[in-house]
Amino acid sequence: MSLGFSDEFDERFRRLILEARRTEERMARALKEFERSERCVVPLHELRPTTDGYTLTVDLPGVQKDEVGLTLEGTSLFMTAPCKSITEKRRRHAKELNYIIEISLPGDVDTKTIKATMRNGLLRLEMKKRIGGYKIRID
Amino acid sequence: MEKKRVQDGSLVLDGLPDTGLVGTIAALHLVRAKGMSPMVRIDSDLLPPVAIVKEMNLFEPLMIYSSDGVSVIASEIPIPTEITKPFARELVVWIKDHRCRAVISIGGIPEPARSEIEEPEVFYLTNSTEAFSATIDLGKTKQLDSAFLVGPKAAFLLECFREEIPTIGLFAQSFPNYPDPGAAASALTLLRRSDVFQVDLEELVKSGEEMRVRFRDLMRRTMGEMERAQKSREMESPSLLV
Repeated sequence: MSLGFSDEFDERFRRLILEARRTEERMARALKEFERSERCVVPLHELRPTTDGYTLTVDLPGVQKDEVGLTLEGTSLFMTAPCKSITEKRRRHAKELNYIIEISLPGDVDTKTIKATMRNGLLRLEMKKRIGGYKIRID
Repeated sequence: MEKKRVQDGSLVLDGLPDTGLVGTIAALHLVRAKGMSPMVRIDSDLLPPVAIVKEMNLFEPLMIYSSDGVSVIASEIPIPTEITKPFARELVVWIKDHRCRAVISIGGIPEPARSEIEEPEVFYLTNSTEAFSATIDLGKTKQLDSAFLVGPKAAFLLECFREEIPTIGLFAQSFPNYPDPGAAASALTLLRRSDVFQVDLEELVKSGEEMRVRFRDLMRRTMGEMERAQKSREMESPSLLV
């Protein structure tokens, strides 16, 4: 069944998808170039909003909590840890690999309230938003 | 392109990349544990020009592995959103052509609190419980009652149900965006009633850390496709069919 969109619409839509794929490809290439030049592994991570702040998780398989280095400069969070979960065969080609990632935290994070936990190789940071503004009374 | 004719009447296991790469990890573990060989190379003008190099051989990124009456669909690349439906239709044509007896699709269901869960729960969706009574232990497994499914598995399951192929979807609670070997192990546990699926799951759990690192690039690429396919709908509830 055709939805009956015009050729012009189809063409624009096709171009949009192509552009999105190009952008994604540029980002993927930049990430792999960074990994190769820095001899590191950029871990998967996810930042989710919560009711009063944010939760950041970073997937660090094989890492123990005392191996993680976390530093904060302004709203830039820098994390490093040894990456030991690469097969021996691959390890020969890439000695001493580290996980490295720098994440820009949202501007409204109260950096003094950040709490970090580590469980099964998953680093979890709970962050609260800075309390600002004032309460509006409803009459 | 079929190197050798896959025997008719096989059981098909779908391991296409999706939430937490649960099906992909389960499929890979099964292929390795059973020493399955690639029997069918899947190619299309609509797929990106990718080849896998291994020991002086070139392979398509999408293959069907087969042995002992089981055929496993596995992929090194996510299925591009634009071709999801025609791809699912072609797979079902192949399944019907080979008179495959049933389809098992393993996937993940996004669980934001997954890190708090030690043993992920598995939910099922089927059009024929009888067809799987000898293969799958559904004793305490809950049905997937109401949910959105999005992506290649959704298209594939719809097509299988439409064509009345005995089909079951097994969905383990999974990290939405991280490879989840623990969820794959939970789904495979249900299949252990059948001899052909008797594989060492401890080995899968042991190699879980390595898999999480190795699959991170495929996970990133799959996440890109999932966003294009409106994957976040899986965290919503359908409102029409209630």
